[in-house]
Amino acid sequence: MSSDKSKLGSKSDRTIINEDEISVGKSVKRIDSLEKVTGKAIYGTDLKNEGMVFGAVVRSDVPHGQIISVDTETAMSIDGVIAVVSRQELLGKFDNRIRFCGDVIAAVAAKDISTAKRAAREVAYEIEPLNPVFEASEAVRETAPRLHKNNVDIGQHIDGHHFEVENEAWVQNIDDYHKFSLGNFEKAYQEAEYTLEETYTSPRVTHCNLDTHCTVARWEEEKLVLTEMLASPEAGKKELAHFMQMEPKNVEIRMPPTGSSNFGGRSLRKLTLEPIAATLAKLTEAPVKLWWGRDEEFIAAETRHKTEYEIQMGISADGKIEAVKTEVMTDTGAYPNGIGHIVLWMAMNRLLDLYKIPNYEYEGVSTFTNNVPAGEYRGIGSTQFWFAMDSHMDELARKAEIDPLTFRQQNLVKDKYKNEATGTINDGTGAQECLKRGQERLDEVYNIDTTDTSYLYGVGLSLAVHPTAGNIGETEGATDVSEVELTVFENGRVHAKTGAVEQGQGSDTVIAQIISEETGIPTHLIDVERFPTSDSLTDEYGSIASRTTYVVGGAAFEAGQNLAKKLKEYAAKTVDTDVKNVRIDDDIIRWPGGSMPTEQLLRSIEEPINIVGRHETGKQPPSYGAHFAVVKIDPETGKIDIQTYVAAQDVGYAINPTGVEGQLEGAVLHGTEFVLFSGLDLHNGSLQNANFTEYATVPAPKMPAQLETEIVESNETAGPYGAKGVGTPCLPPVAPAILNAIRDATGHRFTEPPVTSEALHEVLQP
Amino acid sequence: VSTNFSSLNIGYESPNSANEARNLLEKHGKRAKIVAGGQTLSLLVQHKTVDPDVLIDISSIPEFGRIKEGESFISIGATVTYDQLLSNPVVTKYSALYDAVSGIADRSVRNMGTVGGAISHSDPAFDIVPALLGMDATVHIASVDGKRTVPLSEFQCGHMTTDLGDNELVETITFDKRDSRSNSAYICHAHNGYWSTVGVCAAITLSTDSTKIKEAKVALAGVDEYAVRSPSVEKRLKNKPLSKTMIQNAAEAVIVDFDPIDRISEPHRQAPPVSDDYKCNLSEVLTQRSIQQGVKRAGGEL
Repeated sequence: MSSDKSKLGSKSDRTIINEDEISVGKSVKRIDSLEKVTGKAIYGTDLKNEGMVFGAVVRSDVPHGQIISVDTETAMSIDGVIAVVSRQELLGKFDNRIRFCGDVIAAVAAKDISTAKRAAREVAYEIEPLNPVFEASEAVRETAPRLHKNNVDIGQHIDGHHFEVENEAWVQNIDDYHKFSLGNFEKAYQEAEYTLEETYTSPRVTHCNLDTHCTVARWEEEKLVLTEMLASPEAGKKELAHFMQMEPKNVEIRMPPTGSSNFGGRSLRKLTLEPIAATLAKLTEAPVKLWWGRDEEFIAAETRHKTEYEIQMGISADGKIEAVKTEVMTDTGAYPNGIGHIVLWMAMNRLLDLYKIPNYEYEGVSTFTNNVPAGEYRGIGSTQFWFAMDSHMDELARKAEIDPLTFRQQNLVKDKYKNEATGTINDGTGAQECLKRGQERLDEVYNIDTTDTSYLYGVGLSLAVHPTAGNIGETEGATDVSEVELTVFENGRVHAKTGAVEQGQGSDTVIAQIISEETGIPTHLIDVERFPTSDSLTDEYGSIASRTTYVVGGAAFEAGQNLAKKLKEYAAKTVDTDVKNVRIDDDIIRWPGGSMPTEQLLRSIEEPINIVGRHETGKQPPSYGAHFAVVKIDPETGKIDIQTYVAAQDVGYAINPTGVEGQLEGAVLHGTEFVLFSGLDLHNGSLQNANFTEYATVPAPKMPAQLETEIVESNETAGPYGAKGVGTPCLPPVAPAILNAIRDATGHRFTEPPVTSEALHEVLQP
Repeated sequence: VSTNFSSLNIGYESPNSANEARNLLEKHGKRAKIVAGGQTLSLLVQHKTVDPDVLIDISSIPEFGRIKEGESFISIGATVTYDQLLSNPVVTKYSALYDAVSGIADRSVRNMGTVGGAISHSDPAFDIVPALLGMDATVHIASVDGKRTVPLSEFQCGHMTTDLGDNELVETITFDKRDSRSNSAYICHAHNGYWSTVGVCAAITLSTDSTKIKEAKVALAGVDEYAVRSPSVEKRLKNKPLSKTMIQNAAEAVIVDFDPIDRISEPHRQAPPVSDDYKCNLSEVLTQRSIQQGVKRAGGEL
């Protein structure tokens, strides 16, 4: 473990008795739980305004085509319909081409949702079909129908990555491209003692957020105001302004009172949401609520990229990795949004965060197809990549008859190893610790009765890494910044305006805990709120990429320190002593000969105190996870049960251990879903299972019977109290841990999840 | 599952007696649907598979909510919930019924879903129906015109289709009590933990010396348009001395009696879909296991 203390501050040594409310490192109860469990919380979909009208989208049922005509007359004649608008009339850089089943043809505004939906069905249109392309491998060929030119910019994302393709076979429909090499792969691969070549394909899966997408759009003269749950509002504002050719200052995004869940599904604005609501609001001169149905959520909310990984790896006789070559082909769907770039980037860079690879070749392409759009999903790129790469490493270790744990341990980076693809330096200690502690915990809890030999039993482990906070650390000079403003009002309450978006992950509570730790103000007196994008406070990315505790928490830490200083000054002045004599213990402020609860001090304040804290960092710390799964399989039916699961995760420092456990348990759920259950079923671009009856999610009974979390604290020097990200990095290890356990039990390597009972049964037939 | 029916412009009636319910049904006929726990109906309404003008909620009619033990039979009211079945000491003696009901969906569905609702929808994936077929249950139907009874095996007549007339409703289900040499088991497989891909009930009665199967009833969910008995398996079990080989041999006959459909039609398709071959395999394996379990529970040795 690192002996350096976090530069940003460590947990203080002061005595804290009121641990329920004041303390980092304790499972302080959530400050938002009461209103949520009593049903009082107001989510985005609950919003109602005077004079509000409702939108509906007319979506294409063909995957590719040119709109010839749109006839709005019949729809317009329906009682209660206020506006009908064709694609061409929508605000934003829409052309007249349909590129996926679900793409927008027209939109309707009406007095209620059912009238809007009924009218949407009455919009007549003519589309001249174009040849579609559904396979990424075909889309890049010269003969494929073209969706967009390479390096297209239709205002779908800002900070675009410009690329030159260095592969003659990949000609068009290219959304993004990356290439990297180190040493001499071919030579090292030929000389390796054991080699393995395999292709892995990750499924197209989606978040299944309970609350479907919803925005309320209205215009205040030239300014568009959108009220919606969006995890990265500042980036969303800029992207929408870019797409709609507006000044960024004329787009404002406000949070509903309570944010709903995200998992990446609500990190980006959506092509068929905000611009449509904005157009309808302009035409109707009323606030427009556009709320997607569940089917639309499956079709248009952007899935995890279906990705194919072709991996070659060669190792020496004693298990040292000598050569790795990875070729990646990912399907971004019909429109660019900048995420194909991240999927490729993660696949290229993450391996060198974790393992010493002397000879490495990487090439990846993200393609446009006429499939439903792909976007962000928890652990973007890493979740798919580690499924493939860790599976591959596990298989190769087995081939060489090397213990899988030893194989990973002996190849881990150490002693300031430089990742040549990114320039970052890692020592891998957190990863070593996760492997060690995870294995110890498994040994401690393992109590599987294997006496019934009619079942097959298997144990698997995985190791993965994903960065805390994206977009920094790997780009020269890039930093991530956030500001927190604290106001103490005369009623004794503290109002915290932050860049964090509470989406169920507990960020408001963590921020309150940090402020509480620094000021001695109990969490029940602290209100936390996400500021609107129009605020003068700065925050670039909101709550994405596991940056909240790390970056926003850093700003809360500084704000808390500044506020503590003010409170001490105020107390010193009030009791007429030198400020040096004042200290805060627990929730008590003390001075020589006297003391007062901070709560009482706050109530004596005569005018509001207002301070700002800011945190900026250029460091993107790796967060490691070593996960272990034990499975039991019935060979006659293919029934699989995950009996025991141990998730050992390096979180730097657990500010709220129960919150961290919740993140880990939730990741096991998402990972189990991806590896055993889910997959969007597309036939010629048309989604066949856009409902919860046919799209399988993981039910509670199929979660591991025994689920243990092992929190590893490596003390990240750049994070508050040593904390770093946990939400996204704990997902990538899940799928490979389960697949490796299945391999151990059955002898079969599954390379294309989901692994159904039927698939298991099939491979177990004599 | 919960649906705000009022937002769908559907009328809602809540009769307090059986007579009142029968009269309402007479008045509205096929425009009405009976609702008890709403666990199937809500989905069907949401999917617009059924489009009723009025719902008649029978859940507050006291006589429909009772479980009675007679001298020779058990009677279960139509609005008895799955959870009430599981906590009733009389019902839990019927092992297959307990097996089947305890594995249904999740707690919220078991708290709301009812026996009458399950029977009246004739859904091929419902676990409780094969268990009741194994008990040779009888369905008690009533309308303003009077009462009649139909064996459950004849009550179901197609996928999501029953023998109920437009003005009729299911009021109770009865089955004969078992003796000490009879017992049963229900074993199912559901990859996603919810909708059974296949489920098999075996209800076994042993000979007086417990060395032979006197009589067996074997019924399956998920293999045909509705839950079905397997006469071929039953025939191969009748009067046979107990042995694992005999049971295996009998179970192999299960595929003779039905035509497996790979994707049960709307609205309850399997997720993920499965092949015919796999379904046949599951039927055979689970039939064998449920017979073995039933025999053991009845006191037989294998």
